[in-house]
Amino acid sequence: MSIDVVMPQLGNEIEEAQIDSWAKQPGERVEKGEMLLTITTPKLTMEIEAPASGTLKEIRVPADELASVGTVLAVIDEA
Amino acid sequence: MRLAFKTQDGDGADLVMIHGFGSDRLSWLGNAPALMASHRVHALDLPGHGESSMDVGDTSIAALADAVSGTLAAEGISRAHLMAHSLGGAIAMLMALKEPERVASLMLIAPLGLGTGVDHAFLTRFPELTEPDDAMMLMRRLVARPQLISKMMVARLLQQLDRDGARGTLRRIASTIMAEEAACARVAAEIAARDIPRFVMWGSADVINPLKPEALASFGGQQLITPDVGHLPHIEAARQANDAFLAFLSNPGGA
Repeated sequence: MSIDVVMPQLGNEIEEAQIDSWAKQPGERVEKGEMLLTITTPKLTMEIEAPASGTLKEIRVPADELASVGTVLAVIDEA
Repeated sequence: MRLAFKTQDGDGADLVMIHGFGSDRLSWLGNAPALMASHRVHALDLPGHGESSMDVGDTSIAALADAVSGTLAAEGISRAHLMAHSLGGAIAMLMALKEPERVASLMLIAPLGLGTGVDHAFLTRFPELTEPDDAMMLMRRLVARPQLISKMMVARLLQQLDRDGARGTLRRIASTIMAEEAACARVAAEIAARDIPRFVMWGSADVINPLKPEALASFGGQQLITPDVGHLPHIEAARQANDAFLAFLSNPGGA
């Protein structure tokens, strides 16, 4: 099953954040809870954990691009 | 003085977030969404910070606490859980001492008054920052993992410092922190003698306001010490922090 990695809620004052960097590349194995990417807002940098274990199938928003809350950032193939 | 104040959403008991020196209400981004499921979450900007006025008269901790207290009253919040970081922690403790009936619990993150002492060089240097490289170096002292401080954050900080009156007000608040630290420790000791529900979180690698085990032991309440984390444990270990905050809030009295 495919699991989406989504830009998390950032409170009701911030609607988007920039992808800072990806810790994994497509094809790599990820474990649930493992740090997958960091995002940056003007106020803080946050680490986003993998929501499931499996293979990182696809990165939809590359580093340095902005994404709004709720956007699918990547897809993990659960295995 | 009425402070900039935003209610985040959520239902349940009121929870007010009070940031630290040089920060603002957006610093709670990693925590507010997790708490909104069970609480009405509010965040404010301290005098001289964020969108609150830079034109601040008295910068004593008591005056800052009065500004927070007055703003909550004006917003119709009669009683709230106070989640507070660093300088905000000293303000929250003073509020709890003065008006215990208005404070449901204290959730303190590396609070001023319970550590070994705030790094004076950091406080003195912060209001004078003008160069991105210097600002990056100084801000990285806040965290154990330097990559958590980005260029975007540094750029925004320098912009904020350049607003009219910002540097002067921060200089005075920095002086307050250095002058009143011992008084804050006495307030913490008085809180320890009361039955106010309390939770303290601290990063073991905090070099800005290093933790002091004996002060924490006598302070009591629920505690979470996170390893390999600096002065911003609620940001650096956000998930762990949020789980602990929610566990505490589900039973603040610990009964």
